[in-house]
Amino acid sequence: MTGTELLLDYLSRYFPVFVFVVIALLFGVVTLVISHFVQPKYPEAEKLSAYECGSEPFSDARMPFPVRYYIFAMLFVIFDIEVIFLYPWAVVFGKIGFIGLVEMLVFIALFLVAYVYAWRKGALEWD
Amino acid sequence: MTFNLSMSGSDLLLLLPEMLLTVWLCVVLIVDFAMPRLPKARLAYLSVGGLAAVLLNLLWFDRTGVTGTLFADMFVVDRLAIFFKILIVIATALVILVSVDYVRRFRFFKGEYYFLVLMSALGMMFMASANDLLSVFITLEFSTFGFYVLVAYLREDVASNEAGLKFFILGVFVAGLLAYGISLVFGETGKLVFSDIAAAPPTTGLIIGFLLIFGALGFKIGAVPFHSWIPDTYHGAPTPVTAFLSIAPKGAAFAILLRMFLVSLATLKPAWVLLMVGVSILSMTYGNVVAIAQKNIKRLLAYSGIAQVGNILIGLAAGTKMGGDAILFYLLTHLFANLGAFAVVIAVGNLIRSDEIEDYNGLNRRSPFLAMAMLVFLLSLAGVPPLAGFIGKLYIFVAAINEGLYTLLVVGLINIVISMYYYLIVVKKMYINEPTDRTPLAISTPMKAAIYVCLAGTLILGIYPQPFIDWAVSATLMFSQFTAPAALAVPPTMVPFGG
Amino acid sequence: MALAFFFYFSGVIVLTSVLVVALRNPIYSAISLLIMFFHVAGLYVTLHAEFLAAVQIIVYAGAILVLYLFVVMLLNVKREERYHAQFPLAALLGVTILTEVLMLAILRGFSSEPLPTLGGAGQADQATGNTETIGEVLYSTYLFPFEVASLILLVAMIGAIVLAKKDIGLASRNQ
Repeated sequence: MTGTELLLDYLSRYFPVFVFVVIALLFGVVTLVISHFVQPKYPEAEKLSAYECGSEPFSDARMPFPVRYYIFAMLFVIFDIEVIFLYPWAVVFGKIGFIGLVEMLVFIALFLVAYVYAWRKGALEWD
Repeated sequence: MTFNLSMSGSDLLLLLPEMLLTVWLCVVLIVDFAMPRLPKARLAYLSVGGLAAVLLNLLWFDRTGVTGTLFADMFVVDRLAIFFKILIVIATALVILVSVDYVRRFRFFKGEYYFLVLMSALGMMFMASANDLLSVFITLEFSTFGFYVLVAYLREDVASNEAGLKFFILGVFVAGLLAYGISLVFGETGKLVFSDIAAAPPTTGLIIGFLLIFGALGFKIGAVPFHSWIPDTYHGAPTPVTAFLSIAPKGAAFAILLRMFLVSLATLKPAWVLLMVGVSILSMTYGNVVAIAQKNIKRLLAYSGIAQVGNILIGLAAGTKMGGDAILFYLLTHLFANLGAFAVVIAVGNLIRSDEIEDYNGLNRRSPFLAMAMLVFLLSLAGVPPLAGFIGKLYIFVAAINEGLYTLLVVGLINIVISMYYYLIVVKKMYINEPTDRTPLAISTPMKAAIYVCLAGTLILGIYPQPFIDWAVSATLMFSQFTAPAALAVPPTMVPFGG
Repeated sequence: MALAFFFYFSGVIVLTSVLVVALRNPIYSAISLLIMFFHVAGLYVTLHAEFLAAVQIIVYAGAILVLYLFVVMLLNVKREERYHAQFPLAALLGVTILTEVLMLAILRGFSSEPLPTLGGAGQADQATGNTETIGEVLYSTYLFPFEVASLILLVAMIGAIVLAKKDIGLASRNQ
């Protein structure tokens, strides 16, 4: 096989992923298109005006987010990176066996300390 | 490539000090959140107790000569690593003792302070053992992470936030430089372990790579072209953190610099000596000249620290085993003198809530003990006999003379005179000027203990340095192939005007 | 065919990268960045670096981008005009660097020598995947950086809480 054929053979294994991406895109586009055509349309001046609890909107809908969201996002990044380390470990778990388990237990144990800390200090609570 | 890992009990023994500290800092953290009503000072004593155990373990390693490498040569335990680890552990214990009063100023998260200090100490202990570029990167980042948080610990204080932000942005930029340098070196050689790189021919990429790595380490030690973060960060950070920052990361970074320059780049020595001479002269001169104009004691010590790093780099410029010994000994003297000076600054700062040099007027009338301690530490930093700093400077200059670096010697001596000027201004204010407020200052027990330890260290290293010189000499035996024959003929203690 | 994949992914990467800095609404910039992350992941897949592709999607597209969006929403920046005045300077720098790269590529050419490998990670054949090879070296040769990474995550988590959390209500107090 030539290099190109090798690459194509390799990429063909990603065909399901490709199909998945296409279906996801189609789902969004098709939903919008269908609803655009089948929805009943009776435009009126009053219906098209902005409406907020019976009065004219008096401020911008886009308000600054509370900083709390940010803490959650930061904690999420840290947990996410933890997951990244678990992924190759799970792939080779059959080969590395018991030693691998011990290695990961040490890794998780340290992380568990951080988790329990965050929990006890209320960092995982909304306020 | 199949999975291949073998670790025996004796291998794990090499990691014992680090494992001990890891378990201990988890204990400190758990005690902090499990017993919220426990006075936070207890956590400090708990941390110091753990560090004492680690210190005993390291001393035992040093006595019995435990050495070896782990993790495919990435982690090395040798005399050099043990020396630096002992230095770091002592520095950390002293910093925790001087923090006890200061921590009361924090409004939140008092217990986590000790945890983060121990965490940084652990990172620096790993740095002392880093034997390849990958572990250099990861351990350096690890130790810096704790400092990013510690520097910005005074959350309501604008200066502390600014210091934290500056330190963080420059720090991550430097991490990028370091990673880039490492990738260049790896790309040119395909090797990461220091001793493996030594055989590689000097290509352009390799040289640029090592220059970038040197830049990153220069940032850590605060040598002159990379010093811009030092004054603001030192000024804004909580003073115990400044004290910690001014000694421990420098020590750990010098462990890596020594391994890198004296092992990986030994054959290129003629090429980098000039670089070291240049950086050393710049650091000494810039630090000392700018220090004269300072009105704030923390900034003064920051600039004096830059100058001291210039002095230490003289040893690296010498590039011999003796230069290495001199660096180790100098760092030891710097540890006690510098931490001692910061301890006095913290003690005074806690009581009068000011770090301006003006407010040291007549300190002698208010607390003769603090004034006397500060006098000893400043004179040691200036290099006045019979204090530790004198022997340190002498040792490092002799190492330079043996290599014929007379320019460096002359610049170094001129700089001692300049530094004497601003150190003595502080002394004059403490002893001659009249105080505006005459209330005596009271010092707490842990602070007093830390200052006594620093005083003892400064005096013992100055009056009876022999055992410590022997210790430094034995710690750098691995570099003995770089010793010039002339240096062998003149052991440090037989120099006519030596200790 | 292989080139077609490369040009599709790299073309979209270049286009969306330009959009990230050229668009005036920061939210749109962030979304362009998201599209760019996905295409970088695609490029990694064509380079047989599946693990990197997964990291790219899980960490960058999944977590880092959320962080960016939160910063934008936190500061409530609606339109960013300040830096658009620097366009001539940026164009000058960009053109200079592009010329340099092109000159280097034309004068020196690209090396066809294989890159050095790290403990066999480069020899990942198609039978054992790239992720598997990474797993094998990460949990044996590079065990030390792996465990230190765990410590870094620990200090990062506690540092984040210490610096950003408003008040420290212990969970037990609320019960």
